[in-house]
Amino acid sequence: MMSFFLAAQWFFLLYFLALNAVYAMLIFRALGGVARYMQSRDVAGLPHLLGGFAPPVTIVVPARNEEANILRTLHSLQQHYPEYEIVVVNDGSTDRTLEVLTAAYSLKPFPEAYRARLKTRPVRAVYQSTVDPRLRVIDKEQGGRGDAVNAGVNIAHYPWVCRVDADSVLQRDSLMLIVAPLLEDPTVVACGGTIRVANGCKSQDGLFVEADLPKGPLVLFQVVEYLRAFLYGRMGWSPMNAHLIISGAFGIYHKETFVAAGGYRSDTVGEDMELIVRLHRTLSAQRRSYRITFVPEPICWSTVPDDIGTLRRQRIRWQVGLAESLAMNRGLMFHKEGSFAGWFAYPFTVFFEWLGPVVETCGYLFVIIGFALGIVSLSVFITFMLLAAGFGVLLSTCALLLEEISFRLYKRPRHILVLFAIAVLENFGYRQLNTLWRMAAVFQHLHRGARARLARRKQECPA
Amino acid sequence: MSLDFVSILVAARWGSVGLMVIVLLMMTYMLCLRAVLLMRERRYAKLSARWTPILLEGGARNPKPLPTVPPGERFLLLILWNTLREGNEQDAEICHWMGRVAAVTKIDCLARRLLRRRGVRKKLLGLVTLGQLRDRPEWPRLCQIAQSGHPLLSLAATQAIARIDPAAATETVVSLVVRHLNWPAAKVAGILEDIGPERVSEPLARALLRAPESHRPGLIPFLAVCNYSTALPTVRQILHEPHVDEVIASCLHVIGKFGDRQDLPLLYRYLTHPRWHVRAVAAGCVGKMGRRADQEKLAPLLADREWWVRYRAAQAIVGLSPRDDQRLRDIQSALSDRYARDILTQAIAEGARPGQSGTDLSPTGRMRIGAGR
Repeated sequence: MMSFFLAAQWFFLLYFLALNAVYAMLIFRALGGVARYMQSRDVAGLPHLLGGFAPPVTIVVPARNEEANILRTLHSLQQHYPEYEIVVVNDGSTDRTLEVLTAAYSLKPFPEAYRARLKTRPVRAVYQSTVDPRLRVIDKEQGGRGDAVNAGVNIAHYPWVCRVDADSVLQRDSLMLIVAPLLEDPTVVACGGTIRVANGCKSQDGLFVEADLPKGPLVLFQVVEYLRAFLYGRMGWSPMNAHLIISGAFGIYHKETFVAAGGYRSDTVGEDMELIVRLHRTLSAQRRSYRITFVPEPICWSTVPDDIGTLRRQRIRWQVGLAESLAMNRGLMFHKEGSFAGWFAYPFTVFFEWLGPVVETCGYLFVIIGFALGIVSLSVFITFMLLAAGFGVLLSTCALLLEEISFRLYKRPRHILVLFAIAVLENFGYRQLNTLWRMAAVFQHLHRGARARLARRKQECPA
Repeated sequence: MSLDFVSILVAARWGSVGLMVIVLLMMTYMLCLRAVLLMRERRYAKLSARWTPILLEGGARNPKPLPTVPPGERFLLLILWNTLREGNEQDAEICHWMGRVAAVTKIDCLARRLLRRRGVRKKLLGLVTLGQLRDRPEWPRLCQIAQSGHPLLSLAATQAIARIDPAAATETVVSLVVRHLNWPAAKVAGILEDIGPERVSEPLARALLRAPESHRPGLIPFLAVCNYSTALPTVRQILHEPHVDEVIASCLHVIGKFGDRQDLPLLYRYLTHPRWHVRAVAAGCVGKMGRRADQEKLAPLLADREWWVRYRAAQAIVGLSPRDDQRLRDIQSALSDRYARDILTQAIAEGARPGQSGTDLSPTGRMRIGAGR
């Protein structure tokens, strides 16, 4: 029994050290990345060094039952950008989304003779706005967001396709900012934007006006989470060309690369992550020189759940999506051409993001049970809790510091103090709750996988 | 519990105390940083309120001596100066006046000093300012930075020397453009336009003819900013020899841009080229430069196996018979292929819809001047 506890102690300790060592490395990479970005941002903003040569872009907006949001979203897509078109894909809405669009933009059926290079659910009709020549609307049978974007890509005229979710809030220059990396580096095939929490912020006619903090603690916790995820999570992986997700809320893709990869899969709940992992897998296997990058500037604002039930469902969906993305592209792991994505980011995601909730929960249980049985002393118990919380606070404070030396979106000093308080408080309850939801998702995914395998086996040997 | 683990426990305890100290230090640093930034923002707002009217109203309305600029505010004034200068590029009077202000307030000296700083951001600010000021004394230093390997600095320095002395910069700029094919094409086109077609045409054509085959697709589009009399003979000369299809497509784009009908027979040849994107570009060019009779040559392409070729051919056919619905219907009714009829239906509908620019889309997403990579 004692030797088991001793072995377990060492396992948890090493796991904890390895996890935090990687996070520390990501923070250092992110610091460099943010500093470099701020340099080029100043340059792009001041003398028009990066202005005036933006590529034409097709914005694709998948919309299902968005009658309340769709006009606001389309308004926010009136961008300061030289050449773009908008394709809204009505994905089998059962509400009045199509009617609202038809009335507002005077849609007329249009005989679009397009190449359906990506297989999608049947398209019922294509409409063209007679008041805004840049707007087309596809009406199709329901197939999910990925399927809807694929349909939009099929009729896109331009070489770059930007996906914007219907509930996203943009700035006037969001599109201009997200294309900057494509102009600086011709090998970029996809670029994501930084998403921030829209709750509490001021917006007008669908456009972001000013950042403010929301009222409820649940949403505040998510504000700090988003800062962490985007400022050093993605920014840390990005310089190594190893980040594995571009959020579906706002991202831009080279159309030919997107189509060649087969577009979004419709059999996963995490189609946005799955596509990026697949791009890493296929492009590196082809030994193609490519970059999947992201813009650290906050350019898209998304409403986050403000009740615990919706948040729980979202987190479970994310964790299942992560597991599916990894399982569908397991060939990337330690692939000889897999570079940082295959040799570092993918294994990290498997061991620390996918399995992390299980190990973390076991760690908590181990300490609590050990304490109850008298195997773990009070001082070990307190030290463990302090260290776990201390690292959590440090990581969140690093994200706040990165925000402070870069974008300073939250203008008042009070905001910093509130966010710091949240960074401390989230370690006492919220983080553990999230871990439990994610662990439930891990088992849900494993159970589903086992059932699918069993079903396949039954099909193969019906006798 | 083993002794080793006890010592680890002690280390962990001290580690957690250390973590808390680090977190508190970071928090204090953030608050101090915020205070400094707020002060700087206020200073910039005050400076902007005082200097924006002075800079924009011009010399005639500013007879008084200019306010003195404390050394600590000179950098902020330089930023404001650049911001306003970029926004008023077209107004010669304001630009001239801003040049005088720069000399009086000594921000030109500051810009020169910035060239010697290590930070890229400050160097860039210096480069852009000196380019705007047409500052000749720093020419050797600017040429040196233009030859450096840093992509942003060398591009900004190239733009600066092109602005300062276009005639002296021409050969250097052309050699740099040939070397830096990864530079944003529209930016390069802008620099070449600043130098002027009369100066840039001959060196660029010479460089292009000497360039290896792999460099040509990236360089040929720049012929669009050259003189007609230089660009067309150059692409015709290139097309006389066998080339990879990217080179051919780039040459056809240039031919289409100048639109000399003398080149129509050359274009007809490429309507049946084995590579689809050459056929698509050729069809687009015939649509721009051709006559109604060319619709017959384009009609077979409506049934091409490649969608983009069908689409370009349909656009070209519609473009050659604008507002002649009867003729388009005749062509359509003569088509036996369903895809050909569909694509022509779409092109007719597109031709009829408001604000449609029509035939300017690039099938493969490759760069065209002014449209990215």
